[in-house]
Amino acid sequence: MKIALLSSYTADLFPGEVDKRMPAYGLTAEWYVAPFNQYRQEILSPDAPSKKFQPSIVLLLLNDEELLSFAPESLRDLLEQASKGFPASTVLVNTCTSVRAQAMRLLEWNTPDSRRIQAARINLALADAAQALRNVFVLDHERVVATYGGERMFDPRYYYLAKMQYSGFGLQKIAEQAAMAIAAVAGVRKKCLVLDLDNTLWGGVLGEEGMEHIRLSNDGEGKAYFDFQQQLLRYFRTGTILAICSKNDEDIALDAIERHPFMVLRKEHFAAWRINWVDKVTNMRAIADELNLGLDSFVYLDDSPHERNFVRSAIPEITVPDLPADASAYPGFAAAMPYFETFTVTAEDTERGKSYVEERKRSEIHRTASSVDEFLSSLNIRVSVRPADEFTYPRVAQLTQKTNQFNLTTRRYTEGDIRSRAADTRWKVLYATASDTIGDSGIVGAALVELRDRVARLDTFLVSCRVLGRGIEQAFLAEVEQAAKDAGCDVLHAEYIPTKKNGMAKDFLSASGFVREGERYVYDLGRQISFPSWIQVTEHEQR
Amino acid sequence: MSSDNVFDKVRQCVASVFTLNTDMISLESTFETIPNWDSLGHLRLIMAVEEAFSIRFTTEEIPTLLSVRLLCDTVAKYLG
Repeated sequence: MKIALLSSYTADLFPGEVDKRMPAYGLTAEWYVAPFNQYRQEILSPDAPSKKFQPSIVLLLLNDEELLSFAPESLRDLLEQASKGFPASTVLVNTCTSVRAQAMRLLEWNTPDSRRIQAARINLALADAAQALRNVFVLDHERVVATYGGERMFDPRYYYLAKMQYSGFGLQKIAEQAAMAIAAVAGVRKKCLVLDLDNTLWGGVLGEEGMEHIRLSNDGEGKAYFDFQQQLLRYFRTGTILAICSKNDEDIALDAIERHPFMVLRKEHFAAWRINWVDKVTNMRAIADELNLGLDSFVYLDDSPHERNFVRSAIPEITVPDLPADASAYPGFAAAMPYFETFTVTAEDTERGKSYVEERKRSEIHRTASSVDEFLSSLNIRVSVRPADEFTYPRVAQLTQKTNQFNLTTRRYTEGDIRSRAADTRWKVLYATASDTIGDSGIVGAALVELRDRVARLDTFLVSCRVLGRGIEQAFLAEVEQAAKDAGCDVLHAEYIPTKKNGMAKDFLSASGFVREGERYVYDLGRQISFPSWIQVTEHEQR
Repeated sequence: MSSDNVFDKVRQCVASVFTLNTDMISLESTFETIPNWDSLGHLRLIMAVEEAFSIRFTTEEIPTLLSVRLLCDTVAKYLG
């Protein structure tokens, strides 16, 4: 990730602290650090070094004095200029922390236009600007200071000696937050949260104590579990898939999940479960198989250190954090988990949980249908392919970042990358939506095609693995071929770049009529382009 | 803590902050003999030493602690 750091104070130690935290996300950072307090020039000048650097992320770190020197409108103007000046980047700007106390503190909220009130206005202005500008987001330093306290976050010695905004400890904490934000922009995100039941979602052992006696309520000690579940529900609603892995009797556990008055998470929230007496490692692998997800996209929460160690040692790729020993700390712990963070929630994110339930229904139809053909035609599948636009860039970028299995080239793109290619006439950025009688799957595929004279190059072609095997990928490829032909190309070049995970796409090009020439696959666009007969392909979106 | 122990620990801080081998660092090492011991490096070193000994130098001391010997002497004073 290329990151340009524009700062109004000495932040030279900051990149090093962020770098230490990047490997945990599987990322590395490459920095351009603008000279101290040159951020305006960097934003305004078209040939500033930070522009030549072509960063994915612009980190705008402004201290309180600097932020408070702006009127809310002029701060908004600055962010608008930053948004336009770095159109292909994500711009992150921090909130005002207003932590340094001033004499006469009782007046702070009780005098018009006090510093404290100004700070609140500035932060609201940041939020308004970020919501209006598609590539600007706010990084909440005030929250970090509130969490750890001004006494620890600041060190007046370094402030006076070196104009440093934060103490060594404070620097580590804002670097932690920045690393999480960088990972969110890069789309590094776990997909599935697997949960234990006893002493995790509720207090006590269900099988021994019974549903009436487990600790789970909206009051007292049981409220910690209730609040914990509320936090987990937030993850579900923003696109994280939930599953259960628990040693319990399935009937008893599902009964409690459905009928306990204070369960927040019900059956409808879980995409899969293994509630039995089989060991957790075997169960975890079974859940991964059922959901067709890699175990490296799993996070597992269990109160038992023994089970955690067992899963960790047998499946090192699963993330298994230590739940706090005291359940009262569960809600705070859940809120602070760094695994599922994102700056934008796409429509697919909010619908993901539901779509996994629909998937279960499709497999039921599949099991009862007498033939594959009967199954496919009974689904009445509709696919539509359209050029990406402002509304769909986030989802297209997300697909390039998250799709590992059915992905010919596994090239990762940020929203900025997608936007700039879509604006370029030499590129076609297409996406596919799919729906059928069971439900609407939303955007399930993305393709990037580069047009060079009469040759089209398939830079990226991917389809979400949950819709594979129904002809959707063939229909989408046919539409892409048609689009290249319509753009005046004679031939479509494609490639397959093998990774550890995309083996399932290996034979796709050959099977679709491409001819292999060395490393390259070639499709003659003069040929008849064929679409799967059971799929209705439309140009208009179905939703 | 003996003065040898203080030196060992300070030396480890210097080594890790400036990525050097400990045997390249002596009591006589200063900001002039150690590469990268610039103003930024100095802040990192001070932070590392403060953390290692759980002490807190004064604002006046920080800019003067420009040799390993001075660092050790000042740390010893706090541990005293």
